[in-house]
Amino acid sequence: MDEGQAPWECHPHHLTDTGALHSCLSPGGRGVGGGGTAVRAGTSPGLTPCGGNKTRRALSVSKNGMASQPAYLVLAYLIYSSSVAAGAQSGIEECKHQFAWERWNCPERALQLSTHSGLRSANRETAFVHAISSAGVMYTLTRNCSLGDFDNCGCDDTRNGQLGGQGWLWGGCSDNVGFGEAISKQFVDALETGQDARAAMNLHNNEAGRKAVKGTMQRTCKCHGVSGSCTTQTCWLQLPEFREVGNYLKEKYERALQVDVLRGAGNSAASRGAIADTFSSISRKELVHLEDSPNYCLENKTLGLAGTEGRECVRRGKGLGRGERRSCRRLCGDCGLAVEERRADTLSSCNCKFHWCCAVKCEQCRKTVTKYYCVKRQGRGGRRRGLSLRRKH
Amino acid sequence: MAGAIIENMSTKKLVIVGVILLLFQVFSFLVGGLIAPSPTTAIHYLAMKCVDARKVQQSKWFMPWGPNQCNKIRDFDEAMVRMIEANDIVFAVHIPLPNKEMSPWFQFMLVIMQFDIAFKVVNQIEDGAEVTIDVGLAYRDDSVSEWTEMAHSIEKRKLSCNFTTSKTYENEGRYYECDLLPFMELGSVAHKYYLLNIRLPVSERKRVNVGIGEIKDIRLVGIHQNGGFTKVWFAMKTFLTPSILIIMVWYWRRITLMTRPPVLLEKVIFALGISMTFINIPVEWFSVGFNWTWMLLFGDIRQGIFYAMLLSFWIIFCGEHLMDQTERNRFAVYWKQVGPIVFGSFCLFIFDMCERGVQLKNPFYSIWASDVGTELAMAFIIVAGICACLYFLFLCFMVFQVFRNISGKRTSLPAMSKARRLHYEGLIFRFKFLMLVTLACAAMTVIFFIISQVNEGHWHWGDYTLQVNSAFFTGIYGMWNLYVFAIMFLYAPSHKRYGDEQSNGDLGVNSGEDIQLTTTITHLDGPTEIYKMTGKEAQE
Repeated sequence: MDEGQAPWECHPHHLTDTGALHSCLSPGGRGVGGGGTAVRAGTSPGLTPCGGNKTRRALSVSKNGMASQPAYLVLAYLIYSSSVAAGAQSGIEECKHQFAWERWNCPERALQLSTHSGLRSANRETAFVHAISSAGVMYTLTRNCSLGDFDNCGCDDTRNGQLGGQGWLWGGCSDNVGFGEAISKQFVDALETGQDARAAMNLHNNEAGRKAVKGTMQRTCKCHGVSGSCTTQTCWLQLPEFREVGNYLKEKYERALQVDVLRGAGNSAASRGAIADTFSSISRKELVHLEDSPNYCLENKTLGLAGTEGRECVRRGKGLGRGERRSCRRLCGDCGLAVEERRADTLSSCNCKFHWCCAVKCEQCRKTVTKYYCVKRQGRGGRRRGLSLRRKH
Repeated sequence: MAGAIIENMSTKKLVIVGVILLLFQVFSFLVGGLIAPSPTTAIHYLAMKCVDARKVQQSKWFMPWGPNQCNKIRDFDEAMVRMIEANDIVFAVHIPLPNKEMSPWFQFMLVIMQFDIAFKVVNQIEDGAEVTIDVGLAYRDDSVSEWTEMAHSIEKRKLSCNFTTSKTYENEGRYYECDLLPFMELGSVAHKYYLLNIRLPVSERKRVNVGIGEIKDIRLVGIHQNGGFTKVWFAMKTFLTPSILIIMVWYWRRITLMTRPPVLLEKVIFALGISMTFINIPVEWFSVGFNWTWMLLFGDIRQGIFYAMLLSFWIIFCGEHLMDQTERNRFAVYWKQVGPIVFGSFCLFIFDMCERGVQLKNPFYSIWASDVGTELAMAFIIVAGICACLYFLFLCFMVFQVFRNISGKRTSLPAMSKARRLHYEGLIFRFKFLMLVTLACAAMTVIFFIISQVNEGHWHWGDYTLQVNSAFFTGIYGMWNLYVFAIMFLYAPSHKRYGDEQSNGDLGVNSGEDIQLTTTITHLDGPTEIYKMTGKEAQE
């Protein structure tokens, strides 16, 4: 399989990076559940086109595209793939949370844009999706390491010789985060096959996502010297909750840098060099994008945008968060839509008694809830106004 | 002539000795910085949530992974769906992670606990909430045999959590920031595999584990000493023990060869040597072969004895060079200054016994977990702190007095004969020099302590990685050893008086100048010339 052929060929219909990551690795499509079948599927890649192709891509980074992969690498891939899928999923969930009250609300469809190079978007939102997905993958891998899911977290067995051998005894293993980062790099970056500016942008944003996980980690120390004094203390880096990473990346999203790369310069070595230079001059913590975002107010079938019509927004409530405040204005008013109030009687649980897990004893209460939705304005004036609006950054 | 070696040694030789000691000092830093790995390792564990499906599982221990792993759930939403109760959930942690094994070289293991508690507007953590943990620890030495119970206990820990963002519905699901909770401490790591099973039993009636919020995960951090550091440390101790022992024997022989009985300062120096040897003797080698859980406590005690001895030595050293009219040379004179040291050390000893002593029986015990315990511990530490302050006030005052008296002596120097004056000036210089060395050692300790606290742990230096924390430990340990070595060497009585019977000429004084100087001094029994000056003044 040559370099140009992407893993996309296995799923021609939904073809983005994260989309592909999903469809290839999501619980539906994976063959990882049972030990025996999984190994067999992996060692003969032809049987499962998705897994097989990707394995090769994922691993060819270190192996110079060798014709056949060593069995242990294929096995390694199968071990991590469910974590990778779960990680990508958690990244997308976080994206949905972060953008719940924005015009672009991280829709599933947007994640499955076409990858035919001309149509793939390279805007600010794509940048965020890439970053949060690779961050999610790294986060989940690191976390699952601590659960004992993998055999060689942090300890590179191949270098130390025997399993858990001299290196572990002598100086311990490196942090799980390093492991999560490396595997995330192998998996997520491998999805980017091109060598154009778009690919460079995606790789940059993937890296920014991983840097975000590292950047939000907290250093914690414990003193344990004589009589508990601080003559000896041990410090470690602790994973934050994933929301922290999401918040951090949202801030980066708001300050994302636009990169101007000459289009149509061809795929020559010189232009590739220029692209690499451009991207390497930008801090690896920053998100970058090439294009402006489209107007998310309007429905756009070619771009797969749903528009903000029919979206719910929040108004007049106690303790509104940063994102919720003025969401009706952002989603409806500024897009030339009116806000409609709908009241509904709902049954909800109240006066609950909680245990720390699982058991909740509640009563049922009837409550009237007011919700707000964006609807088309009556009359022409509003409609025209909506059209003339452009999204500003 | 009963002067100490430091008086009779020429400046050139003193410099040579200084340079040699400095080389050893640099060497001890480099051993830690370049050979040893970082002193300790912290490993993250995330507890696996197992379901105690009664009667289904034969073993009473729940394994988080590997063969015979428990019936596990990924999160508590799953438990909600499957109608699993809180009392049926067991948090299982296997130490270490897969494919690793623990080793006696790790010396100790302490485990810290942290709860991930999600914020919910309707289910918040109550003020002063306390978690009750039912915890069991088991071990085994191969990966197939049954688990053997090591300890079981029901512990209480206070939750001190705060929610940094606003308590709104939007922030539901975010985690509280909770303080680290001490969880477990093992004084030896004799087994290969350990298994922790933690339950959080709920009882509405007894108000147990109620109002502790919505627990999402239990995270543990296991800290142990690195095997490599242990080996370097043991090697260092094994090397230092004979060197201090030899100089100690040589020193005592020097003293017994004298006609007079040893004075207080000499005895204190010898005691300092003994306490240094006591801390040096590498009894820890036994911990590799035997399961001696008290080794950690024993190490604390040994360190405590040495520190107490060192502090006492400084007081007595200053006191004995205080040129006033008081009759000294008796230990009883110093009770006022040494008292706080002994009392403070005793307080810390009691505190240590309360914490690490009890942990010998119950590794999950923590004095900080209960209110009474916390108050008691704080009381001990505060009293020890007051003692330390008192001690340093005394010490600073005495040092000030010594320097004042020396400068007072200086004014009377021009009246003396030339040779005598030169000699006194040299003496004063050398004593001040030693005082400075002590100060430098203390300052170095403090500085390196601060560096190791604020530093990330290692410095990259080209291709070399310098482990700052390890360098701190080996360097400071080596430094105090060299300090004790130097004191015993320089304060040993000069052998000059015994003429030809001594063979180690390199230590002695052979230059004509020295002979000329020393012979002019009137013979008075005492360890040093300053001592004689004191005596003289006392007579006047």
